[in-house]
Amino acid sequence: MWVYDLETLRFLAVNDAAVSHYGYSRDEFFSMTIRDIRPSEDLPALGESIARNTKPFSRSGAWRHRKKDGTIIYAEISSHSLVFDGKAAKLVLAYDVTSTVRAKEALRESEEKHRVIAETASDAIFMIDKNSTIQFVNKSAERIFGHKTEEMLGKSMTMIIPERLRQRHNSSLQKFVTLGEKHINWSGVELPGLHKSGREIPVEISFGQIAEDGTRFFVGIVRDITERKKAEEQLRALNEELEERVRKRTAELESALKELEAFSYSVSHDLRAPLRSIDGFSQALLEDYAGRIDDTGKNYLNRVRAASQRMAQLIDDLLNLSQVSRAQMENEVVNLSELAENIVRELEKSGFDRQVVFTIARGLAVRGDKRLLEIALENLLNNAWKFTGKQNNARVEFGSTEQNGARTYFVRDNGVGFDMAYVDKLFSPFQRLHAPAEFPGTGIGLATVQRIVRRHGGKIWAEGTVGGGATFYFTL
Amino acid sequence: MEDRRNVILLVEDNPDDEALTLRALKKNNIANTVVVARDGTEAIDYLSKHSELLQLVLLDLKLPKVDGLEVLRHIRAQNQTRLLPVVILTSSKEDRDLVASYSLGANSYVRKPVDFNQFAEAVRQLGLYWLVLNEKPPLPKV
Repeated sequence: MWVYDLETLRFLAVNDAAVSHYGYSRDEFFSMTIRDIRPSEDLPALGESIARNTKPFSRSGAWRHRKKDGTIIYAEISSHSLVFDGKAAKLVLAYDVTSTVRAKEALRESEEKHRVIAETASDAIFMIDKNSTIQFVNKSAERIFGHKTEEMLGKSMTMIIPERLRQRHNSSLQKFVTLGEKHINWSGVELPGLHKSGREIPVEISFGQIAEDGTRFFVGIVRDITERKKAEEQLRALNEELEERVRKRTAELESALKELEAFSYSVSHDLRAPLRSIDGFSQALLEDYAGRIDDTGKNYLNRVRAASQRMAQLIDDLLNLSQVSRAQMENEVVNLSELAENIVRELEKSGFDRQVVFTIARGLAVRGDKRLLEIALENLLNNAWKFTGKQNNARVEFGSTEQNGARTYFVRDNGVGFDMAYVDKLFSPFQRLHAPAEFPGTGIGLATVQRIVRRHGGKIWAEGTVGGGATFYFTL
Repeated sequence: MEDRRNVILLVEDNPDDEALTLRALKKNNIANTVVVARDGTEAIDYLSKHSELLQLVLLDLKLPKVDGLEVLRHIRAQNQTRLLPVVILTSSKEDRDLVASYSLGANSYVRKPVDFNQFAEAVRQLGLYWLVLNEKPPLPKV
């Protein structure tokens, strides 16, 4: 509270509150005018207000005053005209309303912030009361639903809901209202919305509840998911198309497999019969007309017979090879050592008085198809047995080692071996490195083994030296 | 009722195979009468008329008109021939043929070798077994 001279604007009297609040001493005040407690930018306004102010009493608020230390405060002023010490003066009561002003400012800033957020959002934002009346909408709501803001404010939110779903909306809202929870969140629900044109739009909505001044409002964020729905639909159609293609491809493969089976089947019948005729009648000639055919003739007929038998063997081997590729693979634990022992026993029985030392490692077991693995081992051991035919101390070994961290099996013999230069040919069907006269065989055995090993996901390779035996390694 | 069963029914469509089989039988001094049916229909026809004469059927699988398995099914379905020994004599070694043949009641399954000597040997053994060693099933009750 103070008194100032109307003409000079000088402080004539100040109370203790003024002194303590503004930080100036009494003497300092008396040397100042009211202009000195204003920030300089406000002085023109001050001048104007004084000039205009002729009433005996006036009240004006929220002027900016400057304390001695420079802090700006807001003061609400009421001034009374009086005569003081014979001079025309004004008695001023100043109320510090700084905190109120600051609070109001903060609120306005916050509101401004929220308004910007709401308007910037590309989703529609609605605020409704408990009767579904729209209190606020943002610009995006106009864009998405086609109604102007003015057309929406004050109306029920059901205007953007298709008719058949309005009842459901109202009852859901009632449920929220009566539930009385502080923060109900209802988010990510997909529903159809209604555009002004009558067209329905797929939308996703989230609802939240806020309490303002004790009344409850609901904020809904509505996202137009037309594009997303379109993309989802396209994706679904694409997936379906892919599955259809896979189905077709599988069917094609199955029918190709069936064709292959039919082919193998007819091979086993149709190709062998003529061979039988060739062999049979050649033999018949040899027997029934022995007297009337000379040695050369008999020689020719024997060649004919040998050729047809050889062809029969080839056909059988080929059939076996295709059988190996076609057959369904069983998956069980197979005792390789046991299989090897059985095969060796059979070989020794068919003996021909040969002495072969077989060494079989014990306990070698692996997961795979028992039948196929038996065929593979049979081929490998048979070969080893066969190609040590000319060896006096024939030795064949079946065992396993670790190579590069993988369990590797091997069949090793000390027989005739092979030249590493031809190692690539070893596994090709029908490729042989020896004449059939030296060692019988059709050249299919190793191709069969390779196919079996591959079907078990493994690799096979060989090492050998001429005259120094051979070792066949494989993984499974 | 007199047991007149000593005829071998050979069901075979291939004339070469037929000739070779007959030759093999002859070579092995198997003197039984051999009747040849050249397709499934002929076989079933003979079976319906003269089953009381049959001691053994040698049956090929791949036949025109009605195939071997059908003939086998027919044989096992008729009371007259239900127990009649049937040996499948065929080129095929396919699992499914073996399974089908045994399932339908074939007594034996022999794959025809290409080598005639082996074939003749097989015929010899078949003859010895089925015509001499094997006990005939009882005559069907009329």
